[in-house]
Amino acid sequence: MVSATSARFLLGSAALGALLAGGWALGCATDGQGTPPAPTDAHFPRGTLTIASSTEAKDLLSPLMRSSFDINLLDLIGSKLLDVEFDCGLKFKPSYAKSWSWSADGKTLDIELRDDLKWSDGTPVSAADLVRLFDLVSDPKVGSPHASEIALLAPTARPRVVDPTHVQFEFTDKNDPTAMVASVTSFQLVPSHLLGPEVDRASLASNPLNSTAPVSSGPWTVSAWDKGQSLTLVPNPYWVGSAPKIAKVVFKAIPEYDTRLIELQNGSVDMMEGVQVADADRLVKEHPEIKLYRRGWRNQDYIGWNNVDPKAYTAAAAANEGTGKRVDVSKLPPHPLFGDPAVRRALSMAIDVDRIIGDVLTSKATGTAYARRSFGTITPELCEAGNPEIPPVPHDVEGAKKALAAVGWTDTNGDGVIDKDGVPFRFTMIAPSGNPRRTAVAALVKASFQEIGVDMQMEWLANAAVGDRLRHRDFDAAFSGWSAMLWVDPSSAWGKDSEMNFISYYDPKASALLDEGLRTSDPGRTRSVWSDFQATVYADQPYTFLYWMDEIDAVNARVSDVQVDVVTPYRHLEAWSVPEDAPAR
Amino acid sequence: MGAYVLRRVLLTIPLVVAVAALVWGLLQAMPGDYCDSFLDPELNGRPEAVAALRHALGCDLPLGEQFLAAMRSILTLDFGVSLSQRAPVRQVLAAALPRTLLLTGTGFVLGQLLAIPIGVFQAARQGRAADVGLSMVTLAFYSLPAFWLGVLLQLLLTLVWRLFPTSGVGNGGWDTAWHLVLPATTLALASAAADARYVRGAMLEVIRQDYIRTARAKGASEARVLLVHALRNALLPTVALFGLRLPYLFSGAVLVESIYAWPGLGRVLYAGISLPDLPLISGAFFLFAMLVAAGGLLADLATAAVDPRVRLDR
Repeated sequence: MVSATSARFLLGSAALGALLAGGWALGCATDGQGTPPAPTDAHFPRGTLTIASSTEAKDLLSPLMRSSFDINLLDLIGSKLLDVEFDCGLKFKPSYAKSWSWSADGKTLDIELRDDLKWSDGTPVSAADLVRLFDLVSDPKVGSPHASEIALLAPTARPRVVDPTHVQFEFTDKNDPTAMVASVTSFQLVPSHLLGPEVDRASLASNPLNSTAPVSSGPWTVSAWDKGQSLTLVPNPYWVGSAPKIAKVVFKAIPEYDTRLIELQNGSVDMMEGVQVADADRLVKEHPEIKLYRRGWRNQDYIGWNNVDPKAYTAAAAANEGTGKRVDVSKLPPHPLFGDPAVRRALSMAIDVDRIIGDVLTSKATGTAYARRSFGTITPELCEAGNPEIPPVPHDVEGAKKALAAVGWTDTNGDGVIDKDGVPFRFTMIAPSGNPRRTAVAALVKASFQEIGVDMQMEWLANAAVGDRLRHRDFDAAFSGWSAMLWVDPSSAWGKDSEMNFISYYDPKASALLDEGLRTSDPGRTRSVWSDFQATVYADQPYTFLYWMDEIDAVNARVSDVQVDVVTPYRHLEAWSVPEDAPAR
Repeated sequence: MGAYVLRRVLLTIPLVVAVAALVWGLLQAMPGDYCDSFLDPELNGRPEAVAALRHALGCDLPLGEQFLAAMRSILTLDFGVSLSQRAPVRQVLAAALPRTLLLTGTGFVLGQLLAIPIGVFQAARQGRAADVGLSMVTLAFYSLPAFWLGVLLQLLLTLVWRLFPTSGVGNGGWDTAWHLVLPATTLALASAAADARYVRGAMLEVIRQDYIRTARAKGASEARVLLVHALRNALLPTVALFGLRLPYLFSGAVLVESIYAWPGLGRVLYAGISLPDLPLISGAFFLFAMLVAAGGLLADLATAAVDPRVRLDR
């Protein structure tokens, strides 16, 4: 699980997302003479597809990729060992790897490589590109956000090149095979012929191959990158898989949501992501030429309750400074308000999640709900990993009042705010500003808390500031969001010394289940362990899990064969097509 | 005149140094460690990378030496590498500056082309329905946030009537001019509303002067009286106004460039703040301050050029 509030929390999903998109069929062959193969279909490529993007590309070398936009772009211009499609779980497909197999002890991954891939400058792709990739990811001077993801690998086999078409990855322990394969196939290859061993690693981010002029090994290549304006892709002439049908894909950087929406409606752009529910209703009614696509349950909103005393955490972190040690949250005193699971559960009972979904995230025109209740950090898309038996915390105002009274919180002075030992139940909740959905939901939550005598104030902050406060555990409550990983590994969100366990949750039973789940490779047992783990955590309500949201993407109907899914908004982009004579823009 | 120009330019030097010190001081005053704020947040938890970068930034030096090093960097326009653009800040700003100057310059000229006729017309019709009506209209535009005005113009002129491009900078030449119309108009409308009121007030002062009465008595037409005799003198204060207008234009550009996806300094600064990208923010702040100072200097020099009393009045 990763948080949407800060790029820092995209660590897991960065690798994941990079791993996920793509999935093109390989099969054609080059002429073997170092010149691009001739197009096989006279009708294609043709036309221009213009996509509105809210952000700009930043890092197009995979060891440095962070934002979801970079990850999606890299999936279009890069090749990975394996491609991934998603159907209740990750399904790996051959890409640079022709085939793969596990050793008998389940600790060595043996991979057979293709020998016919080429970079967009005509240089053949080789195992050296793979070696340089892992060399850069693991080098502390590079500061790759994905360094921890290859920690399970033995340093001498990252990878071990057996021969030009045969490499091995050796893991120090046997774990969930899906997670192990994912950890080595998440990254697009880097061009070792341009990034030699002597490359300045500390300034890799400023290297032109990362920031201005990338070379590609995927179906598309960057033909123009005008910072602040647009990035243009054209078919990679050396690509040996299915040839793209579109002559040019322009990603137009438009930071303002309203501007993107206007451009979609007036036809200046063909596609935009993340359409809000109210706008989706209007598009359906007023713009029959625009089709809506649902991405799936990937993102959720939550209220995080700081489980430990923030001052104690700060003191412990200061004591550990320079030692490299993490704060052991199991030894910290509980938060004065939210340290008691009974209090957190009572607060969750006060919130009417179904009403929030109905009021804020349901189409008024069609009645379609674009959200569903959340029970934890494992997305419902992982249909075999969830625990459908968990009963939802009921909306019960009187029950919440009674539960709080049972642990000593009552309104003793009649001021409308419950108190205990003379301390009123009053706190500030931080949240990223500028999101109309969260503004509406926060108002409903505040009203719910008033009903039970809890006084909550909102503090709206810049996205980066919220991320910083979360990282430093400098908050009481936080209203923010997660973007889900598409395989089960709750360790980053729930590990007692994980940097991303920013509510500092620790429960001995949950911790033991987490360890067992990560070590177990038997699918049946794994499912059972994760099921128990989710029920244990949900009972503690360290977060009030609110809802999973289904992102809405809008595409002009002139674009054919569009596929979006929970992994990528550009699934099989090479198969999409647009008319030849696109309107002048 | 030469001595006046030299004195005025020399006075700008301490201003530049003071602004550089202020930029450094503001960054020091921000919550958290000054040096940490220059590091990529993603490096948290990787002590070796953090230590190397802290050393490279001079963060292990005493505070006094840090200040001197920072001043040297700022005054030589070496702000380091932008965390959001992956390029030297100087290079990022150099690419964005001409676009912002084009936008704000066009917005300023358009604004004056609107403000001056409106102000003159209002002064000529003082107290009549047209004056009152235009006062209300200019006040309304003056009160409108640039963001709202921009979105309104986009809705009307790119969606309801598809007359102009919605965003971007175009491909140069006429295409860029075409893309410039809406963002420059947004900036112009906001500034014209205020400037028209200045021009109106200045015209009302001038047309009560004796020499205007003399011109009328000599039989000059009302148009000649207003446009030749009165306007020339009424515009003197608006030359000085140019210097005061620049900060509003540049701050307005931050929002307008974001709405119209115009890749100038304002858009760069907006993106930098979102990360936050402190090297870029400090560079952009310094550059904005210098542009405003340069605008003030130009306005003073222009005023001195057209009004001899200024340079004589030491």
